[in-house]
Amino acid sequence: MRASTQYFKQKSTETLHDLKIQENLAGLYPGFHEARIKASSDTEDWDQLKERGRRIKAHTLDHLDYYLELLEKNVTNAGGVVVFADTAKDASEYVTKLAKSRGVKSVVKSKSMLSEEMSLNHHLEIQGIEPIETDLGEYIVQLAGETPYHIIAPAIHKSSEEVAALFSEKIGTEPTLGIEDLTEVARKQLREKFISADMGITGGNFMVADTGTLALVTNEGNGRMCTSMPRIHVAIVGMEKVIPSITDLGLFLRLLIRSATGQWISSYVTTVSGPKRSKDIDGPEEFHLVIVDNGRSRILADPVLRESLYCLRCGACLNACPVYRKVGGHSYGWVYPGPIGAVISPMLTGLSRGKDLPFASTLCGSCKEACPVKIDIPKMLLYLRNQLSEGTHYRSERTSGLLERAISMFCGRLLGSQNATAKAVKFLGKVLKIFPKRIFPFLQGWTRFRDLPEIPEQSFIERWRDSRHIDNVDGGDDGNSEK
Amino acid sequence: MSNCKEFGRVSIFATCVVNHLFPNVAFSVARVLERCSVAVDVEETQACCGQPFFNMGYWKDAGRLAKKFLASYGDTTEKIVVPSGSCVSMIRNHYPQLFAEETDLLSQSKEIASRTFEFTEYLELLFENNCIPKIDSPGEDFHQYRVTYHEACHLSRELGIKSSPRKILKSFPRIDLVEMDKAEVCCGFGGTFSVKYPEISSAMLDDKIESILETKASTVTACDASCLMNIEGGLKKKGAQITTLHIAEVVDAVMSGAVQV
Repeated sequence: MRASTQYFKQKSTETLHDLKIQENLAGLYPGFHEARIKASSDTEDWDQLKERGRRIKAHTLDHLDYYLELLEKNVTNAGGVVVFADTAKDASEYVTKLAKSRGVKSVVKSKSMLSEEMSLNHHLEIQGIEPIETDLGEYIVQLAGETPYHIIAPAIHKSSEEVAALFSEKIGTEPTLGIEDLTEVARKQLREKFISADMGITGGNFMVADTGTLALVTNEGNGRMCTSMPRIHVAIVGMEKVIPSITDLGLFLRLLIRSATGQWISSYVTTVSGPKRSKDIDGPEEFHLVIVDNGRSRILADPVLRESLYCLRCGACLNACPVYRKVGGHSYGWVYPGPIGAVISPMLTGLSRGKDLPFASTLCGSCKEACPVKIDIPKMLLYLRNQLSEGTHYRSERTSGLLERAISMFCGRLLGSQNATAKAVKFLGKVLKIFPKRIFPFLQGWTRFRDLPEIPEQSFIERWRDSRHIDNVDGGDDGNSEK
Repeated sequence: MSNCKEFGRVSIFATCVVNHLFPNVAFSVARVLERCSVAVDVEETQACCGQPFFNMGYWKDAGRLAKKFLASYGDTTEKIVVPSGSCVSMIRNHYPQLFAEETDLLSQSKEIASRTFEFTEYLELLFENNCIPKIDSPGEDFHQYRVTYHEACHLSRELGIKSSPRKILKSFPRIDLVEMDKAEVCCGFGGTFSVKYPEISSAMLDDKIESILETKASTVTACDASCLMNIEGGLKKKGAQITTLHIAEVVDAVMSGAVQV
């Protein structure tokens, strides 16, 4: 997917003015967000589970080469083929070549954000292969010709009325169908595709190294059908998705599912270890696992940002984020939106292009609080801001201009002296009394939506100097105790 | 009030926002502490903790201000009381990052951080040790302030202070604390975020204002003057008749009222 992270300001403003999307986004707080809070507070030792998950992720990434090799060995032993792809392009090429060589005409796909990184649908289409998204949300987004709006709820920005209109236009159904009928329509359409598809492509929520097992979490069963009905199954996963042992899987399923939807368990958890064996009555004849880097090594090499690779892609930080709940998914301009996207999208697609994303946060900390593996997203946003402003780790991608740096230095010196600041504030106060506020462009960002506070005659320190060292408790005469 | 001696003396770090824009808040902090028999000092060299620069990515400028803070408070041993959760979090949680490579400053910053308290955090200590003057029941027909409380982000999620401010407000019979919906959600300020992304910021502020108005409170309070500056600015722009007061001002008001009754 081509990144358009540089249009954040423009796209977020458009989204803010789209009242329909605003209404749909408003459902996230009472929906996923509160469901997650309830599920986690109902879970015994939730904080310890999070800490354990975090430690296992840290350990795995510290020994990533070992676990990837173990995974490769065990998948191969089970009869699968393992491929390592450096880039999204390499991964797409492998999949499309494989499909062509096996005479594949149509592909059923289970939801995968990595396939969005790869623009896999596009690459399949130009080879004349039809890709069908089988997750209901993804199916809607595909029909609409859009990209996912949310990591786990791709069509969260669309109301059921909008989906009914879309189905009516693309499939020819009645434009007034309700949610149940719409689901039935999609189910019928997809059932035929499942039966006729030659290849199933899935992502993977976890890759278990010691058993060579792929674990998939869905609520619609489409993932299971993609892995079992077509004759070829291809799983594409980011290299950070490996976990050491099958004994860790239970923990991670708990962390992921509760954080994603607030469910204790999703309707389907599918585990796949290799293709059909000789005695199996069904299953795919071939299983290919494509393990993709696509810039993740760059994140892995950065000691501060490394923990962003712990991400389980549960989407909890999106639901918890008051900025995401206003600007929605497409504003972020690449595959991963929200707080985690503000860290990884610029790192994977160009820091200077995505420079607005790390700043598009109030650093309120809701993302960190929501994260099931305690990723310190605010810390990473601060780090990226620092790198963009004056850092040396990504010097060629630094974006701050001389003027901005000079302003910071000037303001820093000014605020370093409270006497000088007091003078400056007083001067500003006088100027604001004489001239209308609208002639000061630097105040516009504030005054368009908010009144300025009244600027006091004297600072606290000045008044303290003048009036204080009064021992009498009620002697302060600053006229403040009257309400 | 036997244990109260150890609370004997504190120094107020007003923060730049309070010092220059909301001086009444710092006076309220001083008066409340003095009513609890705590003597108050004010370090006149105090400036800004450096947070705005840290958050913008200019860590060198932030570091210079942080060093000034250490210089202002390094020679004292007094506890430092700050009417801002955000600035306390800067000192407690982020200074170590700024001084990561300067061992002496790092240990000094940790020493100072260990005696730096957010205002309600300190007040709760006073409460726990019964150092708050007994406030007489204000009589039958006293006026109750309908107050609603906004939970500032850094206070709540970086310092973990969620209950102290509420406990304090509830301890005064004159205050009727009405919880707002989504009290813990950010008001949209975020420092320079509010001017860098004014539309997003104001959309967030609109939600906060809606929650505030729903409570029908006459006063909205919080532990950070900068959040309140944002909230007050939005309320005034909309012509809403709600008073915005820092929690120190609220406590100061009820305490002084109680003394007079």
